[in-house]
Amino acid sequence: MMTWTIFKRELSGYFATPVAYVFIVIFLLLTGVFTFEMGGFYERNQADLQAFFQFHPYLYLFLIPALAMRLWAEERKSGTIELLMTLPVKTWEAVLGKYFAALAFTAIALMLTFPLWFTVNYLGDPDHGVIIASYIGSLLMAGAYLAIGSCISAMTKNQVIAFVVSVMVCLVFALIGPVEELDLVRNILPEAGIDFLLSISFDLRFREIMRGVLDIRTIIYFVSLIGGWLFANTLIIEAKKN
Amino acid sequence: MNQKPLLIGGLAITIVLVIAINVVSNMFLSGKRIDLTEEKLFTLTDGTRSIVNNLEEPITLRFYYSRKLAQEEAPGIVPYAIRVEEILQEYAALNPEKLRLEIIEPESFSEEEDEAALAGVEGVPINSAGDLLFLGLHGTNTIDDEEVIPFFRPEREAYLEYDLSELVYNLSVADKPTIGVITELPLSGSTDPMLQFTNPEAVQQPWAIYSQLTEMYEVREVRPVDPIDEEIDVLFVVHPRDLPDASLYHIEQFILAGGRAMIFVDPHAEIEQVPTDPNQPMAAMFASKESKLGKLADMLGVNMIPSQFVGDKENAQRIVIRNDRGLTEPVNYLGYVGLGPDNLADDVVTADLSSQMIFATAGEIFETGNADTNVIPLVYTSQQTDLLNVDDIKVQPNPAELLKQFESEDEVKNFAVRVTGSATSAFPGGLEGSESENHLDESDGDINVIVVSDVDMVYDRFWVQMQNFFGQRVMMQTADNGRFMMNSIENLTGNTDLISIRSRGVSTRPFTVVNELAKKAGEELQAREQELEDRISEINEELQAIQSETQGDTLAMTTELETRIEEAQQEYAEARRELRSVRQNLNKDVESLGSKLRLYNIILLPGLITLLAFIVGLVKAQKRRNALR
Repeated sequence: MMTWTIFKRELSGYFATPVAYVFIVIFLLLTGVFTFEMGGFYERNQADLQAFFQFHPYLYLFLIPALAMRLWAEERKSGTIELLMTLPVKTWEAVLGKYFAALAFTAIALMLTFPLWFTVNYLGDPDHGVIIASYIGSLLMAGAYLAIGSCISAMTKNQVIAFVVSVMVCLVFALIGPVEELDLVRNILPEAGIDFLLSISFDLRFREIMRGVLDIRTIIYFVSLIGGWLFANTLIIEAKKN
Repeated sequence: MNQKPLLIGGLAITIVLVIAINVVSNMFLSGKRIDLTEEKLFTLTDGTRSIVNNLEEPITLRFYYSRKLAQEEAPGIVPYAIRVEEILQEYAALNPEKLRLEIIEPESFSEEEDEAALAGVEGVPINSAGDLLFLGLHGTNTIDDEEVIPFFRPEREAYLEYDLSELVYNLSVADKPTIGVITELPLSGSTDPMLQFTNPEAVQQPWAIYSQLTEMYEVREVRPVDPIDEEIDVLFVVHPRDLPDASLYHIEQFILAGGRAMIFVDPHAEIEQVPTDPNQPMAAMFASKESKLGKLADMLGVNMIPSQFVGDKENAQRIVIRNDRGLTEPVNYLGYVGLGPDNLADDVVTADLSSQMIFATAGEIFETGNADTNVIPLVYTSQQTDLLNVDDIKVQPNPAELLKQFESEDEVKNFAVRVTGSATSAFPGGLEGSESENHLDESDGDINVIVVSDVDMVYDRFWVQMQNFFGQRVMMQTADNGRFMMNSIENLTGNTDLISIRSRGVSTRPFTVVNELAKKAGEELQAREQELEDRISEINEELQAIQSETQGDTLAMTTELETRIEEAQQEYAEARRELRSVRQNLNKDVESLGSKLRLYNIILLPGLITLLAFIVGLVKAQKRRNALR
């Protein structure tokens, strides 16, 4: 399948440039610093990785759009998209190939945080099921951010614009939790509306998963979101093709 | 171009589809989840299912939740409130016929709010306007019993299912369990007016544990010389002194028939007030205050070592005594032992005890090996223990002497055990003179008895202070004794379903490594502190001695005194400095571990990857150079 070919090409492409290494190093440094300094991981004296995972929705907010912005915006700018389209590749295959390559790359970066898992296991007796669930949830959430970023990068030729707009859209999804936002909105929307908004929040959804439970509804939420944005992504590429 | 409308149409459909999928899944897939937690904290246990499915009469649960108010003013509690609501719905889904769930959102100053308050559901003022936030449960059954959870505290999340199942269970059972108290001690308050003269310290009020028991259960005083009433569910036996065979027989038969019991014996119960004989005033001091299991030990397969109490050096409590020179000094008293979570088994009744229990001259419980019962230690000492003679502490305990005598046997000793399994009667064939109609030689199923080798731990002084708070007696618990006893009784009265639920939910997982380091440091500090404090008091005494010595000779006094005072002050300052530095270094080990871990996690991998990137870059550059040649 062409998706697989594109996937391989894209993924190896990541490691051909220093960009990948820089990204991973920054990711690991940030998660490490946030976990220990802001999350007070050591001071909490709790054998869990809450201090680590709680920042993921906000770290991804900036890191994932940085990854996603070059998915399509660059190709459109350099014209390579035309080249891609002349190959016997269906649009959705290209979209999926690129997407999964980026996701795989993110997964690799995430997996490289394993020293923390070893550390917490050394210090005490953590609930490994909760940690596994949190990693799965984190990847799912990253996937959602990525789908959004990918779609938006397809809408513009300029990577910077892609980045900024992605961050803004992701911000909406990430921060819809805090009620400060709702104060303005609440007077307009009925209760069902508020529930709806709360249910969108990546932060709240991820916190549910961080307890160690993969609720089917949350999984469906993220998967349907990813599907939706990738579908939109495909439509946009198709439209711009002509 | 016709692309645009097509594109917009496509996008619109996508949005609608995604929303629709989620709305539908929300409606129909509530409750479907993969619970990856180690203890399956988010899946209803079989115990709960059993309790709910076995409801004979319908019960109604009213869930009061100020949803909008929470969203506005306390959004932090919303996720937990949602969890509570969902778990309640799962309960209702198990048995919709017999379990009715009403969800009520009390508006401020409404009837529903009054209703909630009357029901005992706590409204917490949440903003300056005085609006009350409700997150509680009120349950009723067909005979108007009421059970309330005033407020679902998020800290108690690990016990959410237990609390709910217990509430449902209590509503499903028509009668409160009956506790039969067997004791000669004034647990229920002293009724003997003479005691006021012979022993003014005698307790007039009921003991705190007795008050707690009467709040939750039917409590009756039992005289075991007669067969135990069938209505008694659990026996609470405290300090069985010289019980005749008939009494022991009835207690034993009660246990063999399936009755539960919690028995407290003691090699030396300080609390026992021996009536003083005016002709022999000293006799009372040397009298025995010991209770034994007697023949019950044969049935249970456990016994207590007589006339000796356990000194635990690691867990000895500090008390303040007056030494020979009339000064007060703190000293570790081996007889008073404080046992915390490190000394508790992973059992239902000890699971949520986070402070410590105080035992006073407790004995050692051991397995006799003569019975087929299962003995499970519940509360046990450290390894630094020794058996000491009760006679040594009867009159005037000398903690310092005891410390000198102490020789660690390097053995963990049990203060409380649970005895289960099948048991055999210690009176085979019955007891002459007692009604042996339904005599049991073998237990009917498994017995369940908790034996504790200390009676003093039951008494208020070692775990609770009663204070008067606006005319109401309020209990300030200073140790976990009461909780342990209530847990045990609760466990012994409950059916096996409830017990199986309680055994889950270990809410804290601390850094054991860090705690060990901190503990070691703490012990070191304690030892050094003691040393330095001793030195300081020695210096003080020296100064006093000098003063009294040189009272007469004024000239000599001044010079000598001055020099000695100077020296003493220097020593004193030095000692205090040392003490300070010991305290400061207390956290040294813990901190250095923290730094090491930071380095390992934050720098190590990124560093390695950077290195890798360089190497890859170099290799590539090399390849390029080779290709160009």
